[in-house]
Amino acid sequence: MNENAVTIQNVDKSYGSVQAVRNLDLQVPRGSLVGFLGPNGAGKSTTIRMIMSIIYPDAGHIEVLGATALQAKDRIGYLPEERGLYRKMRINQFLRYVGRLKGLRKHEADQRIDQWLERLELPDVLHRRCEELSKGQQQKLQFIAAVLHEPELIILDEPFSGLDPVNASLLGSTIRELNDQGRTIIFSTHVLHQAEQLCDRVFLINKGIKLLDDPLDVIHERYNPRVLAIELMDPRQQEIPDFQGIREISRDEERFDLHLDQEADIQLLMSTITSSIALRSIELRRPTLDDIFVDLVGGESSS
Amino acid sequence: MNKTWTVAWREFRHTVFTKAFVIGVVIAPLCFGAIVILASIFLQPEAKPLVGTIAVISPDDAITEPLRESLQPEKPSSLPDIKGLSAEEATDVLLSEASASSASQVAVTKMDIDIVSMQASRIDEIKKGIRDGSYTALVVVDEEALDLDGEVNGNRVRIYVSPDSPPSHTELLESSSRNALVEARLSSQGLDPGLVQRLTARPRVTTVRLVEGGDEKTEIGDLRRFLPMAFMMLVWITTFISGNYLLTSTIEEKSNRVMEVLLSAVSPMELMSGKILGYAMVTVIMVAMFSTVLIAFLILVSVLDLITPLHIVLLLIYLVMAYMMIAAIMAGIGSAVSDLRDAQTLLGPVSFAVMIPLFLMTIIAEEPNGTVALVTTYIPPLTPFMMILRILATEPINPMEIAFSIAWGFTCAVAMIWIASRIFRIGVLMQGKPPNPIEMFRWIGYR
Repeated sequence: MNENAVTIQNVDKSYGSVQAVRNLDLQVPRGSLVGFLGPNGAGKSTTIRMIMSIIYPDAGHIEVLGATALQAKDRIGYLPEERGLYRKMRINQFLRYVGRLKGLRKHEADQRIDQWLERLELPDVLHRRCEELSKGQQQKLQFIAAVLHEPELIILDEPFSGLDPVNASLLGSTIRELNDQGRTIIFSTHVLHQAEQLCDRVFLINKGIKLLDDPLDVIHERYNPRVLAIELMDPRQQEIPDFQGIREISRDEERFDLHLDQEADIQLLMSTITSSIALRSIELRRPTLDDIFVDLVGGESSS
Repeated sequence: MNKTWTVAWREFRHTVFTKAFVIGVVIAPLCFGAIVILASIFLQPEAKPLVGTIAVISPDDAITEPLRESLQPEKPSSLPDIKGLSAEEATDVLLSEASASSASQVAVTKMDIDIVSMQASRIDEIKKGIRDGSYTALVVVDEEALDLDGEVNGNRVRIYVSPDSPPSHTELLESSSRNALVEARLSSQGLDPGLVQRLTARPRVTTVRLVEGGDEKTEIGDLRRFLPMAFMMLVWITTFISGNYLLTSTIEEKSNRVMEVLLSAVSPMELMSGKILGYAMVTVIMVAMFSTVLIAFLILVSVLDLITPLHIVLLLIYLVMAYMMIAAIMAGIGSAVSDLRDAQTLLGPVSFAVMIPLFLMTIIAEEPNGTVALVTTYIPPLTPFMMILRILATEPINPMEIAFSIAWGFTCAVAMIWIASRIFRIGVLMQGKPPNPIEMFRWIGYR
């Protein structure tokens, strides 16, 4: 069995004179939870639509779950960026219809609909019309439509948009549970801290070109600024002693950023500083996805 | 195929099992028919009685007496005598009577009138009397009315009535005066009006068509012309109603943004095929309903044998062809636009083209093998509509031509569905400004 859920090789896609995706290569390992990031118009939705075989690449090859995208449709769950429901249709009819299109039998679909509505805290909506639900409820309903048939690969385009923090957290934990069950999940988002919390791999594109494609810990390591941020107990103190392994010190109001040499032993240095100066706090700064995103996409835009 | 069927069943179910469909397509036509029948039975309008004094001014009192005789209360209407007639002849007589009686809907059956002859010098006094109600009407016949050397059809009789005189009274006075004047002319020439009336009564003429196979069939003129039009309209209306459902459902799925959810489960071709199949089933329901009414009417007037089993087979073939063509057009346009207003813009030229069979109905029914019929038969999407008009018209159509029209029609229908599917797979994901026909043409070639 192919160890990748999705393999994209040398894919190009243009809309008229606009090149949406350029020579894209991507491998999504089975069982991974991948954050698909990029600014607006980066080519995320185009790539997702090509994975779903809703549109086709101009050049290159896409393999999904070891088959062509079209053959694997029933094993993929998809929540599109543009939310869509039949406004007048009842919830049970809508979910049953989508389930039937994904190959479920009627009684099987009905059973799962009940379970999922309960799981996503949508009680007593079964016989209501789609238009009667709030925006957040509609969002959850569409999520259920995407996962009802227990797909191996789940693609979620901006799954958290329109959700309040409580429901976003509920959806986040549900996504994590599905991933724990072994399902491969790709989700695109603009909310980078959610991606940081959830995914174990990040894929970043801008203007149709891949900028980043690595596990999150590798990215953190690669973009580790090796900076110790300290706050002194006495804010009037203007300077700090010179320690071995620090190449530069910058100050931002009460906080000092100590930029470390590549060779410096962080544990040892932290212990030395703590025993030498009275500190209110000391932390090893980690690069956030926001920092990396701004750095990469900003740099790309300016270049 | 399973997914196509799932889409088809949803489209069918959500169209047919709705109040709008039941009311619009089932109940409304039934109610309309029932209202027409009940109104004709129970709401026979009764004219106001014609009472009072009618003054007549005519040269030598020539029309006073004929007018008095003519203005006798009408006998209660009775069915025409159809004893001894064949079913076809009886139908023809009844239809003729029905169309003749529709001209004067309200008959004056109650009268209590006094007809008095007056001098021309009193005309102003009588007019005043009509205004104040002492006279009901004044009939004035010109001096030249009996002069056969002059213009015999000229305006020789004037009738004066009060402002509130109903149309039934004026119609009666006009026809009675006309008849009285004709009688007076005949009498002035020494002829017996009764004899002349009998001699000039219009005889019934029956046309017998010598049909293929040695049979003879009594011709029913109006029905013969009505039949092809009725069946063409049946196919036209049902395919257009279904086509409109297909158009609006596609637009709705685009505007509700549910299209992408569907396309994650089915291919555009499966989705379009499902929709076309679903609305084909809707068409079957409508055709079954409307054709039952039509066939019931044909049985009622005993002319069902005008439709042969071969006709029915051909009608079904052309119905399928017409539906495929109209569905392809509607699916293509529906997928390309995001709202109904934009659809109307693209539908304009198409609507005009498919209205052509309606404009040409009478010409094709009269001359089914004429140049107009031959040319328009091979222009899709007119082919099925034109062929229905032609096969049910009087002149037989060459079987080779029927076979060729079927082959040509289905080739065009399949080509139209292929083009629609190419437009559909691009159009369903497009939002915003509707494409122009040139852009849609380009979509056909897109990967």
